[in-house]
Parts: sequence; C-alpha cells; structure tokens
Amino acid sequence: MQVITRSPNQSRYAMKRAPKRVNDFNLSIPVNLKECDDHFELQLAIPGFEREQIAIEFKEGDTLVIRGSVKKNEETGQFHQQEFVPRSFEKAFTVGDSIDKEKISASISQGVLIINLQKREEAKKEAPRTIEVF
Amino acid sequence: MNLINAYSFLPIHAQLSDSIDALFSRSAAEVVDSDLVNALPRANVIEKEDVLRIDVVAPGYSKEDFEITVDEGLLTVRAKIEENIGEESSNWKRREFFNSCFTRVFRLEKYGRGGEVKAAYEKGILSIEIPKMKEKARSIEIS
Repeated sequence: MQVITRSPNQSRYAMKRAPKRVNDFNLSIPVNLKECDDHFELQLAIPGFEREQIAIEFKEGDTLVIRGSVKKNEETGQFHQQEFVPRSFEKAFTVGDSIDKEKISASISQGVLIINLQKREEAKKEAPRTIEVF
Repeated sequence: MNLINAYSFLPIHAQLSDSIDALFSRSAAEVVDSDLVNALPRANVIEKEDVLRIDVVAPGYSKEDFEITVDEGLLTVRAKIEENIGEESSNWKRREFFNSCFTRVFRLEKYGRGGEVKAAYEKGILSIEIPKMKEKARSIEIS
C-alpha cells in the first residue's frame, strides 16, 4: 500500500508555495502508519474530537478522506495561556490496490483515531520461505 | 497571575523528520513560531468564575499514566509510560507521534490552596480543575 498524504487540491510541490495556513493545517494532525501482516493501521492524533465530529469517506475510488469539524468555540472564561486551539481539518490519503476497500473500520480512543485497512488476500505477507541448499 | 513552566523535559520528538521538511518550505521565523519546536504537550489555562482549569493535550494515554501533584503552589503533571519508540520499528511506515514520559509544572500562586483539585481525562485531554480561593473582606482597625 502506498499512502500519500496530501491536503485537498494540493500537489506535493504546490504546498511549498501555499500560504502558511495550509502548511499549518497539514502539520497540525500527526499521522502514524503501521503495516501488519494482514492490515495497515492508520493513526491520527486528534485530541478533543468526538466520534460525531469525524467523517471518513472514499473519493474518486482511491482517496481516503478524513474530515474533522469543530463547532464554534464556546469556551467562556479568561485564557491565561492558550497553546492549543481545536481546528477543523481534512486529510487525504491515496490508497493502493492492495487494500480491500470494503473492509475498512475505524475507532476512536482518547484522542487517537485508528483506521484499520485490511489487505486483499493476494497482498498479505507470506511467511518467510526457507530454501534448502543442496 | 503568572504561570511559569518551572522545568520540563522530553526526549527528542519523532516529529523531527517533519520538522526538517518544514524547515525547507518555511522561513525560520515560521518554524520557531510553530508547534514543531514545542515538544512538550500543549496546555491551555482558563480562568473561570470559581475554578482555574488547566487542559493538557496528551492523546493516546490512559488515565493511569498520569500523576498530578500540588506542592507549595506548584502543580506538577507527570506522564509515566513505558517508552515505545523502538517498538517493532520495521512495521512503521510513518511515525509522526508517539507517547512518551513528560513533566509539566504550573505555578498556581494564589490558587488551589486548601480546595480539592479535580482531574479528568477525556478525548485525549487531561483537564485539571483547581478551585479559586475566595478572598474574604477584612476590616482593619485603626488604632
């Protein structure tokens, strides 16, 4: 599976010339990708988000789009220090043919969104084969 | 009121590769101003009517990993976990975050003396509520 992250409507190189906001927007959601024998595990750190605020969809057949929307901040009180502001985001991943697009599941736990992408049968890792030397 | 991070430490962050990418596409001022150099968990401090709330952003931990202490006007938040940086390293295709131990200290000054400090960990955010001390009106006699 080749996962290529990109912000919507941005090519990899166009990002360099994009306004600062786009760059921030992209870097604000860190991503982990782990490959296991029969699936890939995609993890997104999204503290403060609830299940209802997350939307995951497939676009144009091979693009997995994850959106998080933040309602208007209704925090009352005086901020003495503000290092974190929840922001809406959109992350897109290009998913290769090795993934079974029907078998994608997601869960969220303590601010980490975990997406399981099952591999197709033929793409599953085979056990290492030992070749005898005569 | 002053909130000072008295001391803090954290191992070098896995976001280094992203930081390097960012260096080439951003000016130094932008990088310094961004989250990339801030390896400590971020925190918001909000003063409400009768409490002071400290929100520490730490996704992916569990409640048991945290230790909160209040001593001599200093509130210390510690996360103690087994570091998993090297874990099955060959399986990671991309690693932009991981959980590690950290310590963040906040100076409470006039807050939190005597009252009960409450904490909750939800949606990856550790919220600590410190009751505000009400100052009683004092009359001073003139002798």
